Amino acid sequence: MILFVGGRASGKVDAVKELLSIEPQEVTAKQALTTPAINHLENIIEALLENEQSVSDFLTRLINENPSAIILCDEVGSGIVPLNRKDRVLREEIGKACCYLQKHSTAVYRVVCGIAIKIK
Amino acid sequence: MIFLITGGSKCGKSSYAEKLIFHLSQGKQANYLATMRVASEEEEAIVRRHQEYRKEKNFIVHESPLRFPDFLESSFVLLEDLPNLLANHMFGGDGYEGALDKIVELTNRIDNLVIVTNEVGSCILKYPIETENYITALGRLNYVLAKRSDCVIEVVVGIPLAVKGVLPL
Repeated sequence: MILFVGGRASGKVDAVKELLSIEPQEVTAKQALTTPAINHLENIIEALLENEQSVSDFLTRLINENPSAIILCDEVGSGIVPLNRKDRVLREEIGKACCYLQKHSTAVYRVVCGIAIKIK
Repeated sequence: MIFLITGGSKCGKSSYAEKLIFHLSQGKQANYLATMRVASEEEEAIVRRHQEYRKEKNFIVHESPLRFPDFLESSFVLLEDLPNLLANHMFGGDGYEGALDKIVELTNRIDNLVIVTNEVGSCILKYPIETENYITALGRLNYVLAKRSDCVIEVVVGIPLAVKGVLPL
C-alpha cells in the first residue's frame, strides 16, 4: 500500500502519475477494494458515514483485499474545529483513517505545491 | 529541552507526545497538564476517554484549564494542549496575553517540556471576529513558542517530521 496525502489540489494525482505511471480513479467503497489507484479517500469515508456504514470495517477490508493499493487522500484537519457535529466527525474519521492506513503502507508521500515529499 | 508538537486533527500528535515524554523521562513519572474545559457532553466524553486511557500511564494529572500548579512533582511535563488553553483565556480568562504569560512562565521553570498544539489557520471559511482573533492568536502563540523551542515537530498521518531541530525519536 502506498499513501499520498496533501491539501486539496496540492498535486497528488500528478505526483502519482509521475512516480507510479498510473491514473488514480474516484470510486465507491465497494469498487475501491479492487481499484489499483484510489483517488479521494475522503469522499469514500464521507459516503460511508452518510450511509451509517463502518469506516473501520471498510479500511480492514481494503488492507486485506487490496494490499497493493495506491491511496490518495486530502488533508482536512488544519482548519478551525467545525461547529457542526457531522463535519467534526467526518474530519476526525479522515484523520484517523490516514493514520491507520499509514501503518500498513510501505511508502507515504506528502504533496506540497505539487512536490511529493517521501515521509515514509 | 522544549518540544513543540503540531499537526492537524487526528494526526497522531498526542500519541507521539506521550511517547516522547516517557522517552525523555526514561519511563519515570511525568506530569500531565490537561487544559480542556468541559462545556458539553461531547467534551465530557473526550475527557473521560482520556482519563481512562491515562490510568495505565505513569502520569500525575493536573487539570489546568487556566493556570498551572506552582508545584509539579516531575521535571518532565506534557501540556495537552495549547489551543484549549488559549481558548479558555480568550473566551473567559485574561486573553492572549494571559495565555502567553502562563506558558512562558512554564517554559522558564520546566526542564523537559512537551507542548501539544494544533493548526487551525488553513481554512477557507470566514468566521465571526472572535474566532478570527482566536485563529490569529493561536498562529502567533505557535510562532512565539516555536522560537523558544529546541525542537518543533509536525506529525502527519502518524509520522513525525522535524520542522526545527533533530527528531528525538
